Amino acid sequence: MLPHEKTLVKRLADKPFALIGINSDGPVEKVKEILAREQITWRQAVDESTDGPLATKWNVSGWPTIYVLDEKGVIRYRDVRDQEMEDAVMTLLAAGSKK
Amino acid sequence: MSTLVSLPCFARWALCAAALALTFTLGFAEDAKPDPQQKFDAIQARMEKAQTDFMEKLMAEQDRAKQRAMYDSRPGLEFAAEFKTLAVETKGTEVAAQSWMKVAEISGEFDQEEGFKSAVETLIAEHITSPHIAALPAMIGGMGWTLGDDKVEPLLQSLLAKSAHKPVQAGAIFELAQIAMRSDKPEKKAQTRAWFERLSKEFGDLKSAYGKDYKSIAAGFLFELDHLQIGQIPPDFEAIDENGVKFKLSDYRGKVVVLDFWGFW
Repeated sequence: MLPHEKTLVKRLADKPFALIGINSDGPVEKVKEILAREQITWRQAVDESTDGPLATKWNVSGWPTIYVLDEKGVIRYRDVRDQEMEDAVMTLLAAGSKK
Repeated sequence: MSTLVSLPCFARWALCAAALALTFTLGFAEDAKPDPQQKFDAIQARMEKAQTDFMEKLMAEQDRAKQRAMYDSRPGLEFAAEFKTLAVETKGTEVAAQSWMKVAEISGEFDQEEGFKSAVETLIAEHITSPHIAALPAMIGGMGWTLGDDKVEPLLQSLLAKSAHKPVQAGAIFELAQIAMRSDKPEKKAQTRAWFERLSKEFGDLKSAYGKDYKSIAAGFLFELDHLQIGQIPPDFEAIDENGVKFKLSDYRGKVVVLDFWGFW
């Protein structure tokens, strides 16, 4: 999961793409420590725990849970991982660039 | 768990205390016939031991293919057979209820459809009022992933129709709601709302096994149903990032966004 995400973020740095993590590990200090240790560069919403406000609102009961949104903010894929996630993102980017 | 004091023992308590101490150290006394609950506990203990030993061996194996083969022959079914024998011997008792639960659980784990179905059907027919079937709805629902939702749905319907026990009814409705929600048949999926609304209305104050009340649980799923399905635009949210900076999901409009709910634990 992580290695694939890292590659994707690097490869698509100049594309209209963002990976946002919604992290349930703990308070901000803990999250920063993990980000530094794992060399994670993308933005995080600090949700503090698995019962955090976002995880609760979005009814998340399994981790990771993944949503892929297109440029209009519409949910287009759910729970795609690794190569499948990459394919989903590439498909949406290709469709967006055609407009 | 097990009661080792028998009536004649009370009369000669001093002697008995010594015998008791001995029984505790030796396990069952040679000539004392274990009662059904002890039999159940003993099978359970042997199964747990076998599983722990197996997991250790599995973890020690480096070769993936060998690991896979080991996993396929993991311990379990032999204990289902023992539990089933005990269930039949103790027909109608609470030990039978616990034993059938084990048969259902193990058969389920091993994808034994017939074994699973017959255990569940027996539980519904003979143990519908037993406190030991509290986890049955979740067990049946969970089996939907391997046996197929169409196979487990009638079992949940039957459980719901026959149980007068609120936690069991709520559990069955919760599972039926989830089955509707994950269905790819539009007419089935359309029933999701009704199930969750019923769950909230009739069992809202009741807490699930995980400690959350069914009203908030239903609200979460209804939010997911209304806002988080493919093709929907989720409501905007505001969050604080790792640098203490506030941001909104809508800041990313115009970009393809992957939202990854994750943790490193």
